[in-house]
Amino acid sequence: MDPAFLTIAELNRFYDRRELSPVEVTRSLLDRIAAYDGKLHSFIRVTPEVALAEAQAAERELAAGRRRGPLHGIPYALKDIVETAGIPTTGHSKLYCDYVPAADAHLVTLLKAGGAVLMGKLATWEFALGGPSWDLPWPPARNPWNPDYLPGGSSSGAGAAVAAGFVPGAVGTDTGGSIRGPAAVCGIAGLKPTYGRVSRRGVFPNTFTMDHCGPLTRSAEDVALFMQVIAGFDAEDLGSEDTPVPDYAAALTGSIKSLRLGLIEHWYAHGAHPDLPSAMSAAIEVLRGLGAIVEPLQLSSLRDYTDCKTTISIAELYAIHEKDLKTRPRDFGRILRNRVLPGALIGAEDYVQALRWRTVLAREQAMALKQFDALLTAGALGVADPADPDLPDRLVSLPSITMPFSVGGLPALAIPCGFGRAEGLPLSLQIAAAPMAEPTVLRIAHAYQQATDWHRRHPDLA
Amino acid sequence: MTRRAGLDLPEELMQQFIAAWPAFEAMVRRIPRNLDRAAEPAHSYRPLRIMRG
Repeated sequence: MDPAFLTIAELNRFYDRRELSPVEVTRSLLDRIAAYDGKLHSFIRVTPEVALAEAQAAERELAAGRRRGPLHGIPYALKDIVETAGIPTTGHSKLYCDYVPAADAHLVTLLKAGGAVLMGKLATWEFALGGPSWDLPWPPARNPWNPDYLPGGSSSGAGAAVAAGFVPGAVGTDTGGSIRGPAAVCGIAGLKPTYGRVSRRGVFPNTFTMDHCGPLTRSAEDVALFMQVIAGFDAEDLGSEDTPVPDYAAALTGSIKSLRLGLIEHWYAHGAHPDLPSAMSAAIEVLRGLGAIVEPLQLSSLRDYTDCKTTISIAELYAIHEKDLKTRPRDFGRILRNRVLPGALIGAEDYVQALRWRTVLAREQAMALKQFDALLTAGALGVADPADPDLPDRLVSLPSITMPFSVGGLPALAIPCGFGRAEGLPLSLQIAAAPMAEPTVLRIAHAYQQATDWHRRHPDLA
Repeated sequence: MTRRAGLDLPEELMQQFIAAWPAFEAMVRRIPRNLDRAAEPAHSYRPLRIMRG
């Protein structure tokens, strides 16, 4: 049996029935990566020795009846800004190409304790912002649906690796959309959890108050299983919330009857891919057919949310990279350098006004969530971008449909809802809810995925 | 302005930055300046949280 596109939930059932083993699955996926990643570049570094050792340990424990949790024996990979003890963590940058951390990021400690199997470190936009870049030590990742296209970013390798069937789950990070964007254009599930739900300790910072770590997987059910392992309070992370971790899988009841969903259609009504409105309408009809009540909701514009988020981000990013920008500017990729340098010229008053604006915009979302159980919009405004080194940088010029829920710190999940007809590339919808209401988001997404099969489609790499 | 910020970039990098800057300058100009006095920055300090770390 080829485990390439089995979900985490399915792998667990096969492990329980002894029809597959962690070592078999790990070897099969390592072979798949060797066969196909040469044209997708989703991995910066594959770690076969670590993977096989962890798979063997997991297999022994599972055979002895000692299951640690839902990721025991499950292969996964990490965006290469997540620190791994003894394994280089490069940020996909010349600046850190030789950096070997002494300690694991906190979430890696949790994954190890959960018996998960580390397959390697994944491509990313440079320091989770500078991309897609063509002037870095490693090439940018490509989209498995069509390698002439990109897999989004900044968790580019994570999106590509899961969509390609190299790993059933990966850890990415999301500041303005860097989990949801790749999930959207790669046709998989990607969750930006509530700010503070998953520890950021040991993860290269992008924007201190908007960085989130979260999973990319093939289904909402798998997101629930992954979150069960990585969610939780970390006293060493100043942004971490000390809130109990619920049983995420128990939330997947399949019923969304009478849930009230606020549809933010004006965000994608203009300038989006021509097939997106009809794909979203079809998704809404599925949700209504399942008993949800979907009503329109108006929030501030994507332009407002993008400007607020980007002003805050660029100022914080400049502070993080100031020393290297002043001493070794040539070692940055061109895109990262030109996105971060403007932070030197953003005044303190601009930064504080943007922070004040953030409070206003976040309160707008909070008011909406007194009326609705969840918010619904598109996961991306279009399909994947072509792999074109001459594509102009649109960080500031193009409003982003993922930035609003970054500004609000809300849990937000992107899942597939169709394909663009011209390109044959995935389209996506996005579900958000109140802080710490990941169970509600996952319940809605899981119900949708029980009634549709977009998440079961996968690219043919041959 | 970049030199006042302590940046002494090689000429070709400076030219790239000069080309990129106007979009960021326009973005900063769009930040509203007339917010209600009660709109506090989203980073309000929490000393208890520091103590727990």
